[in-house]
Amino acid sequence: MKFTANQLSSDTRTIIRDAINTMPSGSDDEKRRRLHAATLLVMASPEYLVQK
Amino acid sequence: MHIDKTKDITRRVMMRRALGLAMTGSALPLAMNLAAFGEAAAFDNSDYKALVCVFLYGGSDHNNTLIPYDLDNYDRYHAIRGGGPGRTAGHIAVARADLSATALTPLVSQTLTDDLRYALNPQMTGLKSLFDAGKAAIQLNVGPLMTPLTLAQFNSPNRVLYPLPPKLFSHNDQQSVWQSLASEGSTIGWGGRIGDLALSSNNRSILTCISAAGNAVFVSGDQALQYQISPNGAVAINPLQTGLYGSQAAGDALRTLITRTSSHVLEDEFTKVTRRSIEMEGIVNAALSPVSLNTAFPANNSLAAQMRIVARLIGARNTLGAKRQVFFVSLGGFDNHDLLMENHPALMRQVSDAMTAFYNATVELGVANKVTAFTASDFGRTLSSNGNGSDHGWGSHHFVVGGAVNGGRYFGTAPHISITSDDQVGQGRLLPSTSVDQMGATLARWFGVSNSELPTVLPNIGRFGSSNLGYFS
Repeated sequence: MKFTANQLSSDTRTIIRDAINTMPSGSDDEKRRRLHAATLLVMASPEYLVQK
Repeated sequence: MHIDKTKDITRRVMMRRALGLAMTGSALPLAMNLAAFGEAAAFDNSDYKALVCVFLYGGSDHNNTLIPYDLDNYDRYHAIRGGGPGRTAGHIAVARADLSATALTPLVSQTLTDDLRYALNPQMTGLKSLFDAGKAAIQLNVGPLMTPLTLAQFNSPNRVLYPLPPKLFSHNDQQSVWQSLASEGSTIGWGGRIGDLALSSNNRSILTCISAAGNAVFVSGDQALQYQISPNGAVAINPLQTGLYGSQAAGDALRTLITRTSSHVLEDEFTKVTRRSIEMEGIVNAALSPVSLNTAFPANNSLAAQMRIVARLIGARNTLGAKRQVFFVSLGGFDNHDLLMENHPALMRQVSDAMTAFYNATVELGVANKVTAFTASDFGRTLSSNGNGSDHGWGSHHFVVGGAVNGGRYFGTAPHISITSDDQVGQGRLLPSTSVDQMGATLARWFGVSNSELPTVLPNIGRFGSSNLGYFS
């Protein structure tokens, strides 16, 4: 995880992974939406936003 | 010797904040401190009052807002602004024939400098009606001052005896000085300082200082936080309702991530702020939804859209438990170095229409006497023409509108229509004869700020002759 220097907790990773796994992944568009959502969730999480 | 007391206030604030942090033992958010610090319970809480600052970004051309109408002064204006033959329009002068419908006759007998008679910009028919009805007053030649100043003092090199406001004629700085009495970067405005005194009057202190125009230092206090609202209501975090990239599960995950508690102090703080914001959105929008106004607000007028949401918030005041509120709305586009005659009249119409609709809405809500709106702007502009517009000035004319206002009259001293008189500093840039502090103090007094509290809101007020210009009876 380039953005976070491995600082995302396993809790956070689970929340994001579980949410993304509910999203369809058939077409390229659907895959792209998964990527967008995952990136947004990482970058909106306080663990990413607060520099330590 | 003048010491800028604005800095004193900042220092006191810092010390109090530091003390507050020490007391709580950790960096609790300012908002959390609100409850702990609710000190000044100065106001009589039995009624409601609101102040609305209408800020015209860019420095509105006051010379084409309030235009000389009597022949002698019109001819001076017309000559300096490059009008056409026979009192017709030309360069940046408005034709005299266009002024007859908006010529002002004060409700009380007033003799102005050089027997001036003014007309409003021909587009300002709404404000003309409010002036005639005694609901709108005009403050002449007001601007930032550190101390009363003559032209000789302005020209004196002795800035210790005759200090000037910082960075005159600069947009960002004069916007900041009007709003906070200090140059760009200042963090506390006088509307916010009034709000600090009013916090304990409101059930929800966060709804004391509200901007419908994005971030504005005017409504930032020491303790009073600025609450921002959009023309459609409280700002929502949309994916929480509508999902993220088509996925409600992802939207729910977002909510979890940005609202759950954390053992890390800063992360926890961040999610507290977010939780509070989401909670307030629900409260504010629920309070707004039953408030509908019959008063028509003009379309395609961003100022009117902002003033409409302010009126609706005022309509929701009882639900929200608000007794004292300071609002900020704004319109941009006033830096008319070029195309003044093409662009400024439409802006004048937007200001006039929006403020008139807002006044009518306060009448509809039964709070006309409880709400006062006033205009402010970076600065006035040169009287002389640059060929296609006017350039940055200093003093300007402004409106004070509301049911409690002693309207239909002028306050302050009218400037000569001249680019050589001693009430201007060159090219008709007005040397203010009334200070922003005095205007602010008059509004603050009406709002409920006591005499002894005035210097905490407007630290330099003691240097000026009067802290009550008489806008209110």
